[in-house]
Amino acid sequence: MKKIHLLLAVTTVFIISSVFLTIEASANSALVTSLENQQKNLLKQRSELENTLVGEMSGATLEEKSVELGFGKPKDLMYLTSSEQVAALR
Amino acid sequence: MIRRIKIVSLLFALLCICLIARLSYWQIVRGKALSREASSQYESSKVLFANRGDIKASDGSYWAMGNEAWLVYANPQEIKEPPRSIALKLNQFFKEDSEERLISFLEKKDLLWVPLKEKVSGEIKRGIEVLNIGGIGFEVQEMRFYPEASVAAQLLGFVGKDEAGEDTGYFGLEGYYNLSLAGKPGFVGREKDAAGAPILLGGARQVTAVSGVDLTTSLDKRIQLTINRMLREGIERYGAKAGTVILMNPENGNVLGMESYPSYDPLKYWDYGDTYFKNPAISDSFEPGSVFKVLVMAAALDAEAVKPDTKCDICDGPLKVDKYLIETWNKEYRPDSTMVDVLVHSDNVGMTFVGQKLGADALYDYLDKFGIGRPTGIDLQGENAPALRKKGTWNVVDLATASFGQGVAVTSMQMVRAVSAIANGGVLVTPRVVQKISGEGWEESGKVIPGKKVIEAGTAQEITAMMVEAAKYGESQWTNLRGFKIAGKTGTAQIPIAGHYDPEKTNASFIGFAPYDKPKFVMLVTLKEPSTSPWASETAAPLWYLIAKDLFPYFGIQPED
Repeated sequence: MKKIHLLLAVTTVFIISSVFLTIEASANSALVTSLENQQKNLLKQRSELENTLVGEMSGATLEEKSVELGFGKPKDLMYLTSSEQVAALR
Repeated sequence: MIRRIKIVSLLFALLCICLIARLSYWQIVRGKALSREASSQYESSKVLFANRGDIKASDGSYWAMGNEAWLVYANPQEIKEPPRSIALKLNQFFKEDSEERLISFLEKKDLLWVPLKEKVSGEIKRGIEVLNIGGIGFEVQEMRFYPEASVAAQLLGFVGKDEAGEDTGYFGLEGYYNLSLAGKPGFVGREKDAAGAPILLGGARQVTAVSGVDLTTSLDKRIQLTINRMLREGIERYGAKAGTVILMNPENGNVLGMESYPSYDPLKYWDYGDTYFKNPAISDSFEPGSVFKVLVMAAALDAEAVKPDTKCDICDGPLKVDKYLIETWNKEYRPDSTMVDVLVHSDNVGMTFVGQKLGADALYDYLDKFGIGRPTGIDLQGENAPALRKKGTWNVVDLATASFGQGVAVTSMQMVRAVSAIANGGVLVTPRVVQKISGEGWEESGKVIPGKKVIEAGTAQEITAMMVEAAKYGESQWTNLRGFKIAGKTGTAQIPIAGHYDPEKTNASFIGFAPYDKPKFVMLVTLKEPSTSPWASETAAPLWYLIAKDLFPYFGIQPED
């Protein structure tokens, strides 16, 4: 009699565990899907931001903008020689 | 009673046979097909794209990078609206596609998936999504993004499609390093439930995608943008058909900048003809003319065939070689010119004297050592190397004309490399563009090829001094930047056509380095068929000095006095 009870108890535990595991796996599957979607969206956003940033910071764009803002390159450079010392400073 | 039992038994037996027959049909005849159909319902599989590696400038900024794009597809079986109406809506985004083409795709009712347009931007995708057209879907793709547009386009190359429709790099760095940049796609296959969520307890197979490596180049963005802008302005100013500028560090062969014009936009490469794709700096050969004289003179000095103060005893007039008359470019003759004078005045008769003193075989050997006639080994796809005439087959005319840069062909890169050997104390280096290759968590320096001694250091100093004189007192002296330590040489080369030289058209070049005692760069400027003047001293030389003047503060080069 005891053996039957034990067998029933073990079987019940197994059944409950199996159901619990299935529910848990199913819930986690939904979580995995949600995380994957989030990852996909974040990667997409990162890619878009990176490209916008790189595009805006490209040398050609910056050169154009700097000229628009009045930061033109000097046309002529003057090289000055340092003046010779005529007396020691004390 | 027994009879009834027999009938029922027979009926059961018949039903059993029917059942077995039906099961056999499903299991044996249709087994594989049904199994596939079932798998498609509970198994999902997709290819994991390998991101193509980035190409970066020496400061870490981007030359080329991956960008997310979308493939627009249609499922004609799910389309509810008339194909013409959908085509009209989509046509506002796909302007270059005809409506008829779209309609023909949308009418393929027997298909489940028809690609409509590849590599569309996120902006266009959002625009199409707003229209909420049933049966139109999107798949993520990778698109190459070149933030500097056409700058360095021929050096970078572009990403197109191969025969199998896969992304492949062509030309330049994209072509040369295609395998490393492309990476390896992965795969994921797993079971899914009715809602499409993965069944974690089910079977799964995954092969991780390996991203392509990133390339860090020696290309300096500041230099590249400068030479790009100034070359375009120069071509316009001098009415040239095309032009090339190369800057290289002579000590290690690092290419600092390389630009040619006309060029193309790698983002829209299909809008340009094939002729724009190859890089003229490494693919196009030309007769170098007088810039070649520095190599011949260096060879003669190194072989001790002449010395800087050797006097030319045939320089008092035109020289007859076989049936040809060799003249100076301005018909002026200077008897007893020294070798310095010969180079300063770019004297063809004087150079013939040098060639004759050196001899054809010795000249061939030196040119070979300078890398003329063979590829430079630069890490770019599409390098061309025009062959030298075979050793032992040079006649007196070949020797004479080669001495002043006619009858031989070089690429711009070969010329820069050879003159770099002079700037680098006689050591010939291999030009390189890529300095570093890196992946996730690792990096590796680019291949360094040890230099080869071509001429003695003393000879290099002698020829450098002669080039300094040529820059100061030669035909281009008017444009020379006084006070700066510059060694240079002009070259005006006639263009061979159908067995003779075009009487009007020329290729103008100027090659030089600065500061001459510790060069930070060697630069070559070539202009194809300038129309304002045929002479390099009035076209390529002033452009060289303009670029140099712009770059001197950046290199920290100051006047010597």
